[in-house]
Amino acid sequence: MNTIHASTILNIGSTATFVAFPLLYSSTYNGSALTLGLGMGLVLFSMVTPFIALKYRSLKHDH
Amino acid sequence: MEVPITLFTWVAAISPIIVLLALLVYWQWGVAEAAPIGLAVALVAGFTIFDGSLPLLAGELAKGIWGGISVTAVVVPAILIFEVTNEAKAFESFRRGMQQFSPNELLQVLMIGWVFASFLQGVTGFGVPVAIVAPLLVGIGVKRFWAVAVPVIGHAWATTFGTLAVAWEALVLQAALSGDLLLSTAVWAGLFTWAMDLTAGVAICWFYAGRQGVKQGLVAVILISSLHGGGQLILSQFNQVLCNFLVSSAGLILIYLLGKTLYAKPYRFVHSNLMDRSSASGDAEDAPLPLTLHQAFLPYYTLTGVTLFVLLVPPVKQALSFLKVGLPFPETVTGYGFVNPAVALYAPITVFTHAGVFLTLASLVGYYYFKSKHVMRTDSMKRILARTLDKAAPATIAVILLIAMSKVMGGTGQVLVLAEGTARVTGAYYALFAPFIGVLGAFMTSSNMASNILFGSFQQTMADLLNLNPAVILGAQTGGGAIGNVLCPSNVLLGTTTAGILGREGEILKKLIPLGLAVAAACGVIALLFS
Repeated sequence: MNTIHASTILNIGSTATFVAFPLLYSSTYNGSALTLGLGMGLVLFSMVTPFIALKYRSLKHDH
Repeated sequence: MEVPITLFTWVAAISPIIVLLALLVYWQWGVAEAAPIGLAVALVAGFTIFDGSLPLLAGELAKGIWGGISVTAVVVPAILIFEVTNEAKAFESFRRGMQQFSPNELLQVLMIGWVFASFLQGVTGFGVPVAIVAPLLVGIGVKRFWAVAVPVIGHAWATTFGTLAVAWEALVLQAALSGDLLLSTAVWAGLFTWAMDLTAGVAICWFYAGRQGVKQGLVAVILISSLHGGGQLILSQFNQVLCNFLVSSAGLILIYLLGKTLYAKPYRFVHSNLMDRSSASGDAEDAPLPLTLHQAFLPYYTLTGVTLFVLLVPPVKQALSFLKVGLPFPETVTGYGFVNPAVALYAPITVFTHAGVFLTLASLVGYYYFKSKHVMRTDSMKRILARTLDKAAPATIAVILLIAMSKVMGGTGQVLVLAEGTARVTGAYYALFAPFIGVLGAFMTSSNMASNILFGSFQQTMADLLNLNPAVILGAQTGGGAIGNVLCPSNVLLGTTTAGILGREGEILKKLIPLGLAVAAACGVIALLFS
């Protein structure tokens, strides 16, 4: 866990939005609850990653 | 049914912006942390108060992510070109070379932070000026904080007619401008952006050395601003597409001549708040460097040359514009009947004329050139890429979430409520607030063009309803859109990313917001008097 960098977590967050994009896009047409839910979930996850990354940055400074 | 415009809905609509600003400016959060909160507030308001359905919100989020991808495609190569130059230790050569251009330190700052930033905005937008110029200013000894603030201020005036007048063209389209109205709107747009340009020059001198700095730089500022703003104003009556590019290019020649004539004597304000005096100098100053100024600047010469060649030579631009990537979006409607029209091709990315491609090409040319000069280590590429990805990470997520926030606000009618609510309350004094509507649009979207798209026809409608001079109101819209580039978190974020001070966006905005609002207020007073 100590080798995970803050930037890795943020890159995971960005990647989550890229993965969410086709799901969100398709849900505007076929309205599938599953794709909509997955897409929204990934966006919500990406919104949390900056705060997770912040924790890793502060852990790094504490050590 | 219409979106209700009440005090409650207006407060709800502005709440994402208030929350974002409070987090950035008051609590000094970084944009990467503040943007998700702003987006969350926009989503909650959009769903609960503005009756946006989940598929509608999904669509707006998708549009936001798409916009973020387009901007990220510029941010990452902008960081890359910096890392290539940094790895070659070319900034030291650049710094010494600038001293030979002119030993007047203030003129060096004006040259890079204002004139060169304006030139870059003249040829390519997308935040490139701020991202490129910030590390160049650090290279000549400007403190990182000011290395970001200065180009943000310096480039903003050029966003209306710059980038081959894309923002202006958007206004022309939205307001269906033609004939005399088009030309008189160009005059007012030119006047308001000239005010921003002059303010930028004076402000940079002031930040450098207070009253003494203004006194020292005043002649240069007046001459350059007359060329920039006055020249643009005149040329806009003949060719709006090229007027900014021509004066911004001429500005480079003028400041070079000033450096060799009126500003040829050494000048340095020792206690300058702008400059970092902590690094040692002396014997190291005389040590020979492996690169000359022009060699160190090669990636940037390449960037400029490629951009000009592709964008200004019509057959080349046409040939390279064959590949456009974009997706259609269906019409969506909120519960209140606010319509997002269907789009055949949303925000298409023209791959081979995208600024990101020019930046990547310039980075590669720079890398191989520096390698041929033996200033790169064997593992340099690995180090460059690792540092680029490391720096790009927070900027990427922040930009995507910020743009998503603006799309959600726009797509659920929140932005319309803000604009119309303001207009209803202001009544006869609407002209005073017209620039602020433009500022709002640019703040939200980090783009003068997008602000004009959002509010161009709205402002024209208000001018007609209230019997105001449409040329003045529309000029104020695009002038406000230019000023909004000074206040917008995305622009500042690009600078803090390449200058290496991520997380300090709030501090910088705290400095810039009063300046931007003051200029907007002055433009508002002028608009009120003449409308």
